Amino acid sequence: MKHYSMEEIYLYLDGEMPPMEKTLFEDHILVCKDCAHRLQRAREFLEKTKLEEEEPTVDVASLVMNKIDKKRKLLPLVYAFFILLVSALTVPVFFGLDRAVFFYYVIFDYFKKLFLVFQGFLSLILSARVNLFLVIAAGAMLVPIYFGLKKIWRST
Amino acid sequence: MLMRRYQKGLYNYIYRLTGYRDLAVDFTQEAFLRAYLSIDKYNPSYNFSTWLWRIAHNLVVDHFRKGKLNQVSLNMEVDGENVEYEVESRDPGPYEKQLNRERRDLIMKALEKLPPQLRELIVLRHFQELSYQEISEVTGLAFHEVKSKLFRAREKLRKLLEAYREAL
Repeated sequence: MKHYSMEEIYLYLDGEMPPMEKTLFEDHILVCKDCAHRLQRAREFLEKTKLEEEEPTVDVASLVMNKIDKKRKLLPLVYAFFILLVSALTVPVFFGLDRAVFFYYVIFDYFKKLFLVFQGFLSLILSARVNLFLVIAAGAMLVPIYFGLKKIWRST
Repeated sequence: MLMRRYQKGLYNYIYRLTGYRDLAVDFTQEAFLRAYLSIDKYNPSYNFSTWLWRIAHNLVVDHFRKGKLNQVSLNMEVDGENVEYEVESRDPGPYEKQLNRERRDLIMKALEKLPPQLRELIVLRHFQELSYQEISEVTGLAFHEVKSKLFRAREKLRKLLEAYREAL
């Protein structure tokens, strides 16, 4: 009588044995004490080595969702940056190099002025040469700007 | 939600392979993020869970290759805390709990001694209860390789457990 190997016995216990072979195996087990004994041992081994799953130490799904949200928020900024970059690079193609240089200079000059205004404003506050009323007025002006920008940001 | 459905299984799979809970949390997050970013590459003819497990498998294998997990520990006391495993559905008494804890520690200690590839097969079959076909898709092994290697892994695990029991 042909005995089944342990590999085949595990195949049966894992439910991976083809239906035809399974029937033959079950018939064999009824008459073969040796294979029945080994089947029982393998079944016990599988039962003994079963472990329940434990809960993750943190809610991983929430962490992932936060990261995805951050990525989503950053995406419009990244797109805006690339659109700006591509448009800046295509200026010489459409308007010629000398006009492009002029265009870049205007942009650069604009940012330089913006920086100077900011620097001046900051030094005014720091040196306390400006009176309190002006600071409060400037602050009050910033509030609607902040909320307006936030609204635009959310809509994007 | 899809992530909540798979997070426990994925976390346990990585945790049992690496032995570190913090690392398991990080890798589970990374696997979900990678799945999210490459969802267009997902082939619907495969199980979504198998695809997810495959991503996690690649993450762990990369770390094994980089040597970051050379000294892999599957010690359950890594964080200095004892996690309760409920082996049976009913609430076990203190004596049963103690027995379960001992049994669990013994199994984890034996698993630690197995080579990573064999350990992964045991984890996927015994704890995650994946079919041979699913294991083959996750690990990239052929069906017959899964069959023979899983058998080898079980034999090694059985011998290790017997050796530990005799030593006690």
